[in-house]
Amino acid sequence: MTKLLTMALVTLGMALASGALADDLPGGKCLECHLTVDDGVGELWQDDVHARAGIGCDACHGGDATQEDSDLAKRSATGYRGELSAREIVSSCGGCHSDVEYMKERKPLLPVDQLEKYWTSEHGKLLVKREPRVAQCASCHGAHGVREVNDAKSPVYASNVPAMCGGCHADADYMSDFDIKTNQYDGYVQSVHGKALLEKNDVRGAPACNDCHGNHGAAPPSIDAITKICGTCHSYNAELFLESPLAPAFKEKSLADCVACHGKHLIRHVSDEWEGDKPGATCRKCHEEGEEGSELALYFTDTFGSVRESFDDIEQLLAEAEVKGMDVTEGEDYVEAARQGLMQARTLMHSFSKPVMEEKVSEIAANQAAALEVGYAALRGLEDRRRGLAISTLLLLFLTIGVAIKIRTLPPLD
Amino acid sequence: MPPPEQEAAVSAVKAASLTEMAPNSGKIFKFGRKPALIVRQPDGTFRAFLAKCTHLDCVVQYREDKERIWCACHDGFYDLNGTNVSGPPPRPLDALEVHMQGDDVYVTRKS
Amino acid sequence: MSTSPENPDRALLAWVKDRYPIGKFVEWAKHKTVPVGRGAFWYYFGGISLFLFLIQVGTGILLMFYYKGSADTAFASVRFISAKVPFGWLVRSVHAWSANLMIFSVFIHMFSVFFMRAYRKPRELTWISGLVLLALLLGFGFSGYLLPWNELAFFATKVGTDIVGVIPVIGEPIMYVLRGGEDVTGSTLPRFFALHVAFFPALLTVFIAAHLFFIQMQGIHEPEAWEAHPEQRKTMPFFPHFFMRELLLWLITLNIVAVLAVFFPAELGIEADPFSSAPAGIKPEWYFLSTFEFLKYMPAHVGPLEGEEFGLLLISLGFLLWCLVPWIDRGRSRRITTIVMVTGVAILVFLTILTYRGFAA
Repeated sequence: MTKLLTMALVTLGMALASGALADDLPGGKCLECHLTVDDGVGELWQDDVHARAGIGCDACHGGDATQEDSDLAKRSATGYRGELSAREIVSSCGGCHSDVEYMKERKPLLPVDQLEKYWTSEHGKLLVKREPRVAQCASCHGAHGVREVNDAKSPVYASNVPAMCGGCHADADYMSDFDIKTNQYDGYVQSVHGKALLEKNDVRGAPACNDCHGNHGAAPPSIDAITKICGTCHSYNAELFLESPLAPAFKEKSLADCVACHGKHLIRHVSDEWEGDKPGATCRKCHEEGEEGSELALYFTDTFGSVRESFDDIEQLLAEAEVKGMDVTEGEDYVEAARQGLMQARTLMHSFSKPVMEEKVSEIAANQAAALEVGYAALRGLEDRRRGLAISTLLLLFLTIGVAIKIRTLPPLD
Repeated sequence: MPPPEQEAAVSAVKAASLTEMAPNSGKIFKFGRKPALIVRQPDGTFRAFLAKCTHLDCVVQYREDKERIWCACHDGFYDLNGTNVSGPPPRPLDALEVHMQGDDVYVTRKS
Repeated sequence: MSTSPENPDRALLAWVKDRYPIGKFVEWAKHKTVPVGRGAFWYYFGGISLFLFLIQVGTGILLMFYYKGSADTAFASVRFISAKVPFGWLVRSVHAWSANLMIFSVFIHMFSVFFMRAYRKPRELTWISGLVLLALLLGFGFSGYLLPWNELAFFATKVGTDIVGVIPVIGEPIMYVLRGGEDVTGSTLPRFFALHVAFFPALLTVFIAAHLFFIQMQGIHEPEAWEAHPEQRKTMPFFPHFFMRELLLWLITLNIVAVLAVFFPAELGIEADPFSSAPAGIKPEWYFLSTFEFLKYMPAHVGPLEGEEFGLLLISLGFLLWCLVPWIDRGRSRRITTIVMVTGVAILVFLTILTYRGFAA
């Protein structure tokens, strides 16, 4: 008897509990089953932004949320749609999110152009042609556990974006029917941007896929747009480039500005070998040996090379002085100024003008010379000290001998 | 018995003089060993900050055209309070205190 | 020295004697003697300590010309002294080395006095005043170490004042006054500076005067062997024999300090930052290392006391006993004397080992 009573109480408790839980979040009676069923929807729903906004299951799926019985809830008269197809997802999400008046009442600061942009994207265009294997709203945002974009657990949070896009775009099998390469993710992860975002967590500064390709209107940027896109962050480089003699030449040859030299996804730290005159160097791709462009390339390589060598010399010199006990912080200040100058010089290179570079280089050289002078002065100072010690030791020695002699001449002790 | 905390900012640097800086202009100067930026705002008053960008340590500069402080390295912007308003910088600039002495503008650490 | 009346020294002396009643003093000085024998070498260390102290005062005053004793400016001023002031590096390094050598010399002096049993009647107060001098010197070392306001000094001071705070009841208030607040901050520095250049020097002067006065009045302690074997008695006049030899040693010491200052200049490191975390491996100066190591070996609790409290208690008791040695060993019981001497050797060995371990850690 007591066993039966206990079981009854437990079942009642569970029902009440799921009922209570189900009542907390919108979804009505749907959640009574879907919280316990193994499809994971119920759990995901707990963290969903739409759930917290008071939107229930029926808003997207139709059906009668007041019915406990699943057959009754899903009768055809209720407008139940079941699992949505790709196109249905887009119209379902887009239905509310592109409705200006609707969104104004609920989350006025959220943009409402996602749907419009989506149709311009490669994903959208293919979806219109009935290709189901493209990304739609739920592919990136999820369907039931949708989180805010700035929630670190969201798949569309900056540092999660590359892996998310790479989920399809790096999968050679999945992409085999489409005419796109699948090496972008690999390249990106090794690039400066990838390392900045994924290893150093520079979420504000480093670009993920969407920062160049767009979010909803995702498409590879056109050749003309590339300078503007890279220039969003690297504005000074872009400005210099557009004013340089290379810009019209690139336009004429339909070369993709920044990408032509720096690459698309596998963008690495610039090395001075790039500017060289040797075969394989970037400039050599267009300029023949002996041409004006080639001469300029050589100038850049030689200049930067000698600046870097000077840095090595200075490092060595200052380290030597420091190890021997001299203070060289003033030298370090000059080195810091010179390094800032070098950074600026690398940017100024994009104007591809010798006079501009010469001006900057003379400034760097002045700082490096000052740093060297600090180091040499320190070493000279060391020499001076040793010499001073030798002289004073000699003097003291004479004094000591003098005193010793004096002691000898004292009357003997009795 | 000693009274509770009283740190005094002692080291002061003369950054500029009233006559040398026009309103809406900026100047880099040395604050001890560090580069610092002094800005004369359009209304004539002065603001000073350490010039190290909080993103990747480049030296920032003043942009008259934008009336903002700009970092050329990755297009970061700070407003005249030093707050990071656009681009990669994650934190505001370190602010310094400005004191006037006659025509001279002195900058000290924040007390 | 010639005894001719034309000797300029005599003329000067005559001039002073004409004006001031120093006749008795001059006679006393002429007849002051110092024992000669096996242990005589150790007699020089008192004078060497004094010489090093004079060097400290001289270099210290020179440093004060440029040192700025506030948290914002201290480090920069010391860097300025080391890098820009002509011979500033020399003055600073000499000051640092001479401090270390002085404490070392004082320890030699103290232990040599101990093993020669010169603390016995009538020289008890000389012994006590000497120990007060030792304590003052350690205070000098501790307060001076913080003055460059570099990272090492900052954390060493933090640890050191923490230990003071462990003393029950009075420890915390003392620590608060020492630090000028709860923590080591920019308020601590001016206090330590005042202690280092005003308070300790004043006290030190008084106690050095007392110490020397006692010695001059009583004469230098004679070796015990002379009691049993008076035929071994041999002395030398203080002026000029002992003094000249002392001078010789002073010149050699000066040279040693100079060589150390040039080849091992004082380091500066990086500026103290109260908000940064302590670097690994902080330790105090070598003369505090044995205490530091000793406290490390204390268990967490000993009875109702915390380990560190117990350790400090032991050290204080030990120091107290050391002070009271003249009354423990009065020379009347051979057994007690032997025990005291053996204990002294043990303490010396113990301190040496602990100091070494402090370095090796």
